[in-house]
Amino acid sequence: MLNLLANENMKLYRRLRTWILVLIMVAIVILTGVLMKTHESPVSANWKQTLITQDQLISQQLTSGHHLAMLGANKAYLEVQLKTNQYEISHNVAPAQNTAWSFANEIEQRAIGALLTVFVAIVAGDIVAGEFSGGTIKLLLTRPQTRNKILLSKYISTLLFSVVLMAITLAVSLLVGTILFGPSGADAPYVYINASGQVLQMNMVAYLFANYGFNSVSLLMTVTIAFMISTIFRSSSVAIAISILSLFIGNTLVEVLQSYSWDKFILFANLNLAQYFFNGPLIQGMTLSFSITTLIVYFVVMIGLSWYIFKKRDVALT
Amino acid sequence: MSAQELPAVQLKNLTKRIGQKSIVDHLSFDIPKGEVFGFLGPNGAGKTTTIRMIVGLIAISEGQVLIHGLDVQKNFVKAMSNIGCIVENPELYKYLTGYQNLLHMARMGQHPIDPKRIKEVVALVGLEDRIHDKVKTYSLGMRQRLGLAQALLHKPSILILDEPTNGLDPAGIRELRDHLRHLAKEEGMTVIVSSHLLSEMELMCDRVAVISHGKLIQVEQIADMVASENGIQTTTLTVNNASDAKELLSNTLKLEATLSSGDDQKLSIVSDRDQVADAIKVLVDNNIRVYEASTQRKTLEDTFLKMTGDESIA
Ligand SMILES: Nc1ncnc2c1ncn2[C@@H]1O[C@H](COP(=O)(O)OP(=O)(O)O)[C@@H](O)[C@H]1O
Ligand SMILES: [Mg+2]
Repeated sequence: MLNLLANENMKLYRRLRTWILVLIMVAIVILTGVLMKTHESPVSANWKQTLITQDQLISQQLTSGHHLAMLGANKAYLEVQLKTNQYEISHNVAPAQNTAWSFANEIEQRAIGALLTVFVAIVAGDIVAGEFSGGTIKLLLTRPQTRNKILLSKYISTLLFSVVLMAITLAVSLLVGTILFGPSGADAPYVYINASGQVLQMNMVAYLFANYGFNSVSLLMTVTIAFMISTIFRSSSVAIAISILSLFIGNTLVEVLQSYSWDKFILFANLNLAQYFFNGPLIQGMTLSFSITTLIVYFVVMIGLSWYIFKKRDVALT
Repeated sequence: MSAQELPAVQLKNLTKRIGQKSIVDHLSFDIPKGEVFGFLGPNGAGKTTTIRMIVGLIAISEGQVLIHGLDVQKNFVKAMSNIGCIVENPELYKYLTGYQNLLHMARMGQHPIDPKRIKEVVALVGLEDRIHDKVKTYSLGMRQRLGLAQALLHKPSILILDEPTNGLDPAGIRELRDHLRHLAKEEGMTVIVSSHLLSEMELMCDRVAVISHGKLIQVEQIADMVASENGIQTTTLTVNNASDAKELLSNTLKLEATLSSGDDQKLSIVSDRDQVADAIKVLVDNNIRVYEASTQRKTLEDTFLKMTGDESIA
């Protein structure tokens, strides 16, 4: 089994394409950093005074009873603003200033999220179909190894690649962030409203790792979708194209079908588990345990299907 | 039966059905150890399909394949440990070097392969100079050599090559033939090759299974195929008086000769070799002048055409 994994890794990392993907990722992180650095809004000389005035206003609004009804849900947002301001004043950090940690978070959430998914889908979509289109599947299946082990080694190597790509992204974004914006900001609070409307906070480091954690769940599912598609098609380019397409169509579908009650059963509505911690669920009535259960069911079905197809497959009787 | 006496490969009612059609239809025969064994049949006969079932690439619809007595359907891993194969084309990772391809193959086995063994097969196929180059820079001939090195890497007791001479020039075919014969003779390897070309099989194989439309026509030693059926041959004699000769042979040897219609000096007899000698002696002793005696050996081609029902193969 370790030998098979070594083979899969050799095929992955001895291939130029893999390193082009990594390179693109690194380039985008650097480019985003440089752009953010050059477009940083200048810090006004009296930012502290502005914040103090803003705080006083917010405090007034929060304490004056007759305004409360009108404020309604905005109350929480005001509290978030207040807490953020208080940190910035006491730590002498001008608002909206980038730090290594805020940059890494920015990268994770905006620049990289979709790209990471697409890159992982490219590798996973190719990993089985590529052997079929190259004919090399015959090398794998005519050796004293079970089809189970061969498929498992491929699945694991794809997962490892996702982890490697995530780790590289994280490391490079922290490095670039530190070079461009300085190493501070690790203990800056990320203030947020949780699903039940409470205002909570955690530090930026915790927030960054939480985001990567949630992203791993979604990547795991992405890998599994693309992997399944890869076992179905004999052409690796078709498998890659369909994998990426299905990711986009799936996400769009969730939004388009929001009015239907069964929308929440779509895999893509459940991919982002962060919704239960940070902003409240996408669709009313969804819960964390509902999403986890749905994900597990999808996972088991997709893995089962991949294995079934691969094990039954007649090689080249077209 | 002890393991020693078991044939290398046994096919028992091996069948592949696609829908209603049987593209391989109840094939049963044994492939003895240490021989070069050929699957011979026209294109589309089912040779590749049979090989695919033997090596586990496609499911068996009915029947069994035994490798040294091990059922490939029940004991796939053990059975495959004995086999090296190239099905249709040598398959290689073009973005890897030749060496990396061999390393990949080495890791696919059940037992670790010594790096020395990799060197050995590289030398065997004469790729030392280019082994660390990417396969995409290799010529077709080099790819075929590397494919053979892959198949031989694990020292299989059974080597299976599907249409191995496709795309080789005459010198390459000759080299391959010598190589395969050497493997069988000196190393006791069982070599199975398929081909639609009779002339190649004749030179390469000890024995062939003739397959047509998915069915086994017969398994025969090449030597027997070339010889006439049961040693009986047709001999045409040219003499000074054919009708006298016919009468004489009928009276003395009970041999019924046929007179040639357009030529009063020719008659032909159907007999074994000894009877030909006897006939000549009788004729000469009785003062009939014998100018010529020629035996029409049936060619392998004739036998083959008769067997497969006149499909063009040669
Ligand atoms: N998927 C398939 N469906 C139907 N017939 C097929 C399929 N694959 C191959 N065949 C047929 O099976 C027969 C045997 O093919 P093959 O084993 O490749 O022959 P050979 O190797 O002897 O030339 C051919 O007539 C071919 O057309
Ligand atoms: Mg063929």
